[in-house]
Amino acid sequence: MFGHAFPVNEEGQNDADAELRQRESLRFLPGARLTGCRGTLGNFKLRLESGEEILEETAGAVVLACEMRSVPLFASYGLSGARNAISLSRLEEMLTSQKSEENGASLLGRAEQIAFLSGFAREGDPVSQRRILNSLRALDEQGYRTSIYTRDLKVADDGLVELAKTDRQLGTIFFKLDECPDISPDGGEIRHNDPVLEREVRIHPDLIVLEERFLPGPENERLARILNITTNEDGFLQDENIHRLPVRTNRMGVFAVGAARGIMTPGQTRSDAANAALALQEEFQSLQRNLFGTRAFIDEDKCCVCLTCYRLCPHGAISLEQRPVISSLACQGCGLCASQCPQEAISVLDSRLEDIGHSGSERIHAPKNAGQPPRIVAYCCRNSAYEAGMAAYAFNRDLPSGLIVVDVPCAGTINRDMILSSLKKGADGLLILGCHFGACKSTWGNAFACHQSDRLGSILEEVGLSRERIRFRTLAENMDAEFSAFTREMEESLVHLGRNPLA
Amino acid sequence: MSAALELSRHDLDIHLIEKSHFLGGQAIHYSCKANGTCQGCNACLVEEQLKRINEAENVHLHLASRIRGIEQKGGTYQLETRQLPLFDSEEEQEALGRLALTKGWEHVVQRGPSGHNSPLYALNWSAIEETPDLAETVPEAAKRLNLKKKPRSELIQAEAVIPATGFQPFDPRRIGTFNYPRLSNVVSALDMEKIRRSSGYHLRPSDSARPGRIAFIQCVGSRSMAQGNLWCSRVCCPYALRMARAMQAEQPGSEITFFYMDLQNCGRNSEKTLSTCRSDFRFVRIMPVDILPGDNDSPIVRYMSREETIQEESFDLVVLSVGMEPGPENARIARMLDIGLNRHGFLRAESGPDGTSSQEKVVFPAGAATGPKDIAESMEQATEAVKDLLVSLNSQGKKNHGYERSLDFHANTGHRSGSDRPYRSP
Ligand code: SF4
Ligand code: SF4
Ligand code: SF4
Ligand code: SF4
Repeated sequence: MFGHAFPVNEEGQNDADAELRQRESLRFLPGARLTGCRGTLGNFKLRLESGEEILEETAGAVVLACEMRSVPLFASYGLSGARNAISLSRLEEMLTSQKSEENGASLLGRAEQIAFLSGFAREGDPVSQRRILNSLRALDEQGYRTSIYTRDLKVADDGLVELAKTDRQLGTIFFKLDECPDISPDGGEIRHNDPVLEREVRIHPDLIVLEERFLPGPENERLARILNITTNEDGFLQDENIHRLPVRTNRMGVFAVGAARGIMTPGQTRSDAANAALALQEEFQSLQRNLFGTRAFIDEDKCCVCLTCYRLCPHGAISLEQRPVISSLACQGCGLCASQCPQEAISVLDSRLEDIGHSGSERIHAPKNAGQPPRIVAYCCRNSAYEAGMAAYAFNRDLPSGLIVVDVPCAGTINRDMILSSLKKGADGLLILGCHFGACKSTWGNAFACHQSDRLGSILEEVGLSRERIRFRTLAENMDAEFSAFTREMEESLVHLGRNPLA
Repeated sequence: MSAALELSRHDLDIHLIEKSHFLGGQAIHYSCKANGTCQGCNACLVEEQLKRINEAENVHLHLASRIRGIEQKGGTYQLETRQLPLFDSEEEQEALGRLALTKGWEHVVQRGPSGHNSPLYALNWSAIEETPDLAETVPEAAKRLNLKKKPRSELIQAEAVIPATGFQPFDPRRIGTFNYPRLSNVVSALDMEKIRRSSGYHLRPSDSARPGRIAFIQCVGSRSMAQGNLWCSRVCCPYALRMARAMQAEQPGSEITFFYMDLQNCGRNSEKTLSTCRSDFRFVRIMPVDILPGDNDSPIVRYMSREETIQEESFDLVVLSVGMEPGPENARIARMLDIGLNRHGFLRAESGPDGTSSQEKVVFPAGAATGPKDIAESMEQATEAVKDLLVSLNSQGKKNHGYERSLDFHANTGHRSGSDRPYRSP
């Protein structure tokens, strides 16, 4: 975290380091390890260990900028025993030392035929691709005979298509294959049936250069645990939820940039730094201007310190200081904590949940006669379905006339009382509409809602109603057409089911 | 748009000049690709930004405005624009809304692609110009609209300019052998998006049926010497793969074939997504020669097989994954702002790695105007441009815009993050 650098070899990097070290506003703690983190955005208490020393630091925010590791893939290509196989990084070292020593030709000297392998043991990526294409060019220019075996050229970055073309012109032979060619275990021969030439091709490389796999930094797992943040499947420090973009994590005030969050080009890493700087500044600004009022707060008299809220808060906005405390800066007002607090001790400022429950049921006053269209209350997440619904209205889409749209801060905030009171007041059916899985701003709010609606369905069955009367669906903000389709579908099945007998 | 939104948090006046009647660029047309689970296409983030930009008080919108000239005078830019008349009053909007539902008049009204487009309706001026004696025939709904309104000129002063003119999708008509749009069921990916957004489904245009056999042709207008586009557009692979997955979720059992050169990665956890795609779809590594009409409006794709023979295959629907090209106005904008174009015709980001522009030029190109980028990358790069802009204004001491010295990060480090000081508890 403190001073790990991703080796991008940007020019001027070292000067920048020196310049940074001069700055008074920055402190360097080389060798320090983060071993603990409490608190919330604006007021983190960090525990750092540096040798024997233990430091307690306060920080407003934490930016993770760990480097990644690359591991060679000799075993994956069955080349563990091959003397002539080297990793891409090793080749790059050789090429650089060659440059600086002028006589480094000896390192590669006896090789004539050099073959690269990539994309068979893992998907490649534009970062590696650029390195491979640059190495090929350097070798071509020195007169080596080069070839590359790959599944797909990952050319999705500036200038790579042209670079590949240059390599081809300089003499590199490109073999694009769907499967890895046969490689003899000693690396002496590579053989494949070529789809273009339509015959078997064998080459006898003097040197085989292998792709590497990028792995997240060795500290990532530990850091994620200490900071209580979720990682993506590969172990990088930012999960796949779109609301994290560009540099946020699921914990407010903890940011991940560059290689900490994925395999990034130097350009992206630079842009991440700018994004983090401005995101930090945004939080700082709101702190100064006091923009955030407390969104959710806990009535201490009611709280029994069960810590449900602490465990549940998807944004890491609740800290523990004898009892749970909600940070006004970090709280996003999603209302999950409030909906699950067994003591009903939490209220959310701009949207008291009882009010939402009421606003749904209050607005049901259609008479009960059979000719009227079914009354549907749709609880819509404000981040997605509600917007889709509003667009559906704006676009004059076909919508049930008995539809009542209620916006909730997150679909996960619906609870039994809200649903039951709507049913009692005469709703014939209920829709709970949240974000798609993986795109929930409150991480697990939609999963919660899905589970809730399932449970409520069972309750309905117990009292003799069809579970079809309550449904959970997912939508994105731009799905007004689907909003109309879902609500229409619901209306149709309610016409079949008939009036709600409880009403 | 991202840049304006980022800037709006600062004590600055932001003028957002948009050529079309609707904000959001190409991306606002995109539909959600979720197959139950979000696929991370980020289309909904554009929607979200549009909503927030409407709420930002210090962002002044200039819709339907074309820049006619830019002059730099003693540290400020004077932008002369010409704005087509808007009908933004509630009354006029209502009238346009009704006109859009009037038979024979639908084409005269344009509706914004998103519910957040405000105003939502605009008059299609080119359609009006094509019909000279329109004034006599206007239906009741349009009586309240003054169709004689004249465009107006504006002079906007600014201390800095962020050209974020986006990209232009490749026009597949340029590849004559694909018979687009003569064959109704040969569509561009963008056409498909529009169909999906308006109907909620991926339908084929000829008969609104759900296609069962679908072909995607990749790299249409990218990576092509013939078209002079020697770049990978980056977005079309992930985009098409996500669309194919959404199609398969919508219509299980549909057979999807990709004609391609190389498959690019799809989001950050590509490994898993791509391996699912590789097993769910068929991949043919070849660029088809041509597309011909077939029975039942089903296009026939012809390609050279590996055995050097011509293969013909019929599909219900063919989707062309069109690439990104530099915007048609890039050269003009670059000339007016005295900035450079790269060899492909995209705007060159002039600022150095330390975010300073040259003293005289306070111009920070952003987004896909600087080269192919997906939604996330465009947004990230826009923020970077904003940071450069703020640093530059700051160093020139032009304006107090709240960019605190203590947070004066320079982006060239990319790895340094000493944030242990700037915060003080209140
Ligand atoms: S969930 Fe409620 S009762 Fe439990 S700790 Fe939180 S506020 Fe207290
Ligand atoms: S409202 Fe949401 S973000 Fe705020 S404390 Fe409760 S769970 Fe956390
Ligand atoms: S698939 Fe795209 S539009 Fe749909 S929720 Fe995910 S990011 Fe948003
Ligand atoms: S992203 Fe895919 S389809 Fe698009 S230009 Fe690149 S390789 Fe071709």
